[in-house]
Amino acid sequence: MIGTIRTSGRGGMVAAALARTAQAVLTALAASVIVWALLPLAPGDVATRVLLARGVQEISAAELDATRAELGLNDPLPVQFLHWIGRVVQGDLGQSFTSQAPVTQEILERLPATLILLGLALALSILLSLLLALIAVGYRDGWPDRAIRLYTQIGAALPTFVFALLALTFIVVGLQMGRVLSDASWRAALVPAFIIGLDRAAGWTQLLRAGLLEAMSSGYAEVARARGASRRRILLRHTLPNTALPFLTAIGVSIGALIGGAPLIEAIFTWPGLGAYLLEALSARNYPVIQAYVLIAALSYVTAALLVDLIALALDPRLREPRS
Amino acid sequence: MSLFDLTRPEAPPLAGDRHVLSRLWRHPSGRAGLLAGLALMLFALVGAVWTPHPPDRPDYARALHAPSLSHPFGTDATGRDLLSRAMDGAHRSIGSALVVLGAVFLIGLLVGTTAGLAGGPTDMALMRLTDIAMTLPGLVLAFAVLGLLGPGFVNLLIALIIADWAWYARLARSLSLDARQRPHVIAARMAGIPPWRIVWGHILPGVALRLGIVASLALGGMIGAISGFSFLGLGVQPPRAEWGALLAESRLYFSLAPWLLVAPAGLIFLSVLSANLIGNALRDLASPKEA
Amino acid sequence: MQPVLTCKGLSVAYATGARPVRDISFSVAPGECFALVGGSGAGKSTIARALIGLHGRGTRIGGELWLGGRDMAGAGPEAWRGVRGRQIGFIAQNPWSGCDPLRPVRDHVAEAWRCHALPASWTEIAARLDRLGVAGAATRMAQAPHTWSGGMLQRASIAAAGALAPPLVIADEPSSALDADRAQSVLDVLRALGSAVLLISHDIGLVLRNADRIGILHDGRLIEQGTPDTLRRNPQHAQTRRLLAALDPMPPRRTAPLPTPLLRLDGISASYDRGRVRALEATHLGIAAGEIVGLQGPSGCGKSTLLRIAMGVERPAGGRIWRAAALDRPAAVLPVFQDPVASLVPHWPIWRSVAEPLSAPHLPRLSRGARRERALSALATVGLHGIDPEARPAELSVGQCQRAAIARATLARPALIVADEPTSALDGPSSWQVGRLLREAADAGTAVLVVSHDTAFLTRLADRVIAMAPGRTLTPGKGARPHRAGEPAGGIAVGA
Repeated sequence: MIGTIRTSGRGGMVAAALARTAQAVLTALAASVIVWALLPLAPGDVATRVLLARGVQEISAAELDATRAELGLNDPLPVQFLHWIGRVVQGDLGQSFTSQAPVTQEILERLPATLILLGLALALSILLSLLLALIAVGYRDGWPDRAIRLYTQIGAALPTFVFALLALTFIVVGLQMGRVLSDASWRAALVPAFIIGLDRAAGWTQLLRAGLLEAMSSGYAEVARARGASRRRILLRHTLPNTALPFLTAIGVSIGALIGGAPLIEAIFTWPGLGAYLLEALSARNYPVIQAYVLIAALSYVTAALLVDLIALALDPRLREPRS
Repeated sequence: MSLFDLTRPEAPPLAGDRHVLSRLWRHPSGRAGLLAGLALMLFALVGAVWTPHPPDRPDYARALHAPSLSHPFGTDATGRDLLSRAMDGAHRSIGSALVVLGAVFLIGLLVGTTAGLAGGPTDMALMRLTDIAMTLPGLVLAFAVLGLLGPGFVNLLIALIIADWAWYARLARSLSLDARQRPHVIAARMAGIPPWRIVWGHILPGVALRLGIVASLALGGMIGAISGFSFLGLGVQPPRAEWGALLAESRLYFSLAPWLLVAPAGLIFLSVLSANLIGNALRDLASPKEA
Repeated sequence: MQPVLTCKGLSVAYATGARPVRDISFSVAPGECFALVGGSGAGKSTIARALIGLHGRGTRIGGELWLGGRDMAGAGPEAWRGVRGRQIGFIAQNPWSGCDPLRPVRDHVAEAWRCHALPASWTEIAARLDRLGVAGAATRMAQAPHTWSGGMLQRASIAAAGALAPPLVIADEPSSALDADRAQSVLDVLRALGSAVLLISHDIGLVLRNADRIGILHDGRLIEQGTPDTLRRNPQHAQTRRLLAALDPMPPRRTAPLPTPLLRLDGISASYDRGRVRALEATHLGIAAGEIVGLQGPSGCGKSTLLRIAMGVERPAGGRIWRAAALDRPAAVLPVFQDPVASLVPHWPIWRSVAEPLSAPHLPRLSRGARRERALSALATVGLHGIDPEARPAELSVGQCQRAAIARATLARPALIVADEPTSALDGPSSWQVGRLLREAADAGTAVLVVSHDTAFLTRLADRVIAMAPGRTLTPGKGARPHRAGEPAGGIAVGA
């Protein structure tokens, strides 16, 4: 994703950031085309579904025609797309086939729960992996390192939902450590977020540890040691910032996995968020809701990737100035 | 001639790309992964044709029995033998992951090398296609496709292939772009070797090997994804067994029969672990040559 | 005077039990340049790392290692920290990988003071860089290392190594990442620092020109010591003679080149980056059968572009090309590359790579067995009769791979062999062999065009050397970048 932008001069940073942002906008646009296409691609007649959803039992041809006209289904596809995206920009994501309520409203009711859970899990896993990787490198080949390596091996081999299920049933419920209560508050999110974070941190710890060790044996670390720098100074001043870049990229990528995994996670913790909402919609073939979920997921993913790349751009001079 | 006799090989006498399997076997984590993987394959193959008890027939008299000699993993709420169900589900969990990865590997290899070697408008068109497929995170795209097609085992595999192929095509393209710039390819071209033979003999084997290593690294994640979707009821449909689906069934009774969770979770863990071990060993064996 | 460094019976033992360095004794006097030279695997880098306490965990140092009046063998990390930078400076092989890529060059230099908790001043650093020949140091030093040239960045490393005026500086192959002309100026700058220099190198020619005294390393032992003069006149050890043989004159040509040229390029010009950078301007080149022509010049002078035009894979922007009829048959031009291992098919046995030109469709069809026979005899003529013909390139040494690549190029009897930096990955003796094989090919009637930045090698090998001036950048900035030698620019499309 990064590394293709090459501009020079003092404005390099700004130009590269603008180019990357423009690229993100294009990606978001392409994603929205796919998202929109879900509805015309969906099996069955949209107007019929809408009428059924409105509780009309006996559908007449006249009603169908009227609904088609109302929904703009007789327009050419590009016009339909433009109408759709125009409504989306205004915050109108359509009407739920099942509840008849505006999808936007239903999403907004559930979004905070998902944000709380995923945000907390993300923050915990970043902190945890940083901490564990630094410990592992600091005590390289000692027992803390061995223990951490064992943890990363096990964590990488347990899919998040399996780990969450086991942790929830055997530890949280089995030991009565907490109530499985999902009122979507920060307090209630703590235990699930910790469980998710503990599993997700395994892969990142592995990545960070390997990156730190590689950076510790790199040329610049060796030169710094030969100048008389302490191990601690090298770790914090040189190797950690250099390892942070691939780490950031990995976080950006896994935000997609986190969003995509939300339905599974929320099903396990019976968490009333967007993921649970999607699962309801999937079994009911409630296309406007599926569409809205995919749109939100795509936009969050594009935004996260953009943020990660912008941070990388700010940190790494190689991405904004050419070689000479 | 006497001058030449003095030279010693500078590189250690490693077997290049020969004997990959035997080198994998000598690698400690590679051997552990191979052994576990073979055991699971055997488990799945046997389970596909024979199980100690019928996997799908309820026997309410035996509901929720604890593990015993006749039911080593216990029985579920309708009295079905869990070992039989786990054996029956094995080929759906492991086999389907292999099918999906095999499909994305082949599609990726085909699309990627075509784009990379043909270049020009073909490359442009194919790459824009992958761009579009990659604007959504893989799992989200899989949910979207499942939303269109509806839940079901075959639909799940189609959704996962659609969600994943573009990434492999991208990788195969960059690998083949890199390969066609390699000195040995230029040398063959200048020697008058026809392009199709260069592609077949020089480029494809290298690209396929690297892509295959990457695909093998992804096996663990794919097994996890398939069982995750089945856990949600979007993949294998009851009464058919699959490890993720077994977890979902067992979950309802965990306070009465917690052992029901152990076997499916353990099997998922073991298969992802063995895939990871083999993948890591392959990466170890391949990376010194990359430098 | 007291030596700045004395080693007595120094040995290095890895945790695995291997002993890459055994019983080494030497000393370095203040201000002198002592060089340790040897082939790959001789233990050079292990010694360099041990002398500054950078031997890895579990590695043990035996014997005595006197630095600044103290025996450092067996010293702990804290004792080493006090010595590094103050008693002993260090210059790494690759200037770019020796710098933290995220920090500007001035931080790299300032680190020499800061890591000893000493204040560093930008004006002082700029002044020091300026004295070492870095133009515009005050502004340039705020830029990132990757924007600097290798020669300039190595000067910054020298400034950092000499920051606290250590009596001794260890330089591990300080110029091997640089062009020959830039390499010498970096060594001159290093000597001007005033500290004693321990120079580690594989390049016997460079060492003979620069060192006051030389130690020859072989197989982890110091087999011979002496001044450049005594070593050159009276080498005691067979290994020393072998190293010196790399400087021997190449075999002379045995056949006279034909008077009619094979290829003539007149007034060639070329540019790249959509015409923004001029790679070549009004360049002339002619070559006849049986002749070796060298192309020499610094990075970015357009050597590789000219080579690709001569190979017929790139069109010039202007000028005339005349090609003899011999060049129009298939496989008339065959290449030898800079990276020998990558020039052979990684997943094929070595004989199959060598025999590949025989299977081209314009040649009579040979059975697999016949092609293998021909490949084996070609391998024997380049001195590779001892190797396993089923071996993969990764199992062979770099020098062996390059000889196999030459066997492949000569097997199909091309009219022209183009060799792009054929020796830059090789040590002295291997380079000499490659030169010999190229001369044999020329004697058999093939024209050979060799590109190299190694002036000494070219002048000894080639019948004529064409020196090229650096190319000019027409519009600087805007994504333009000078061409770097050895970089596959443009490339050759297989499907085309």
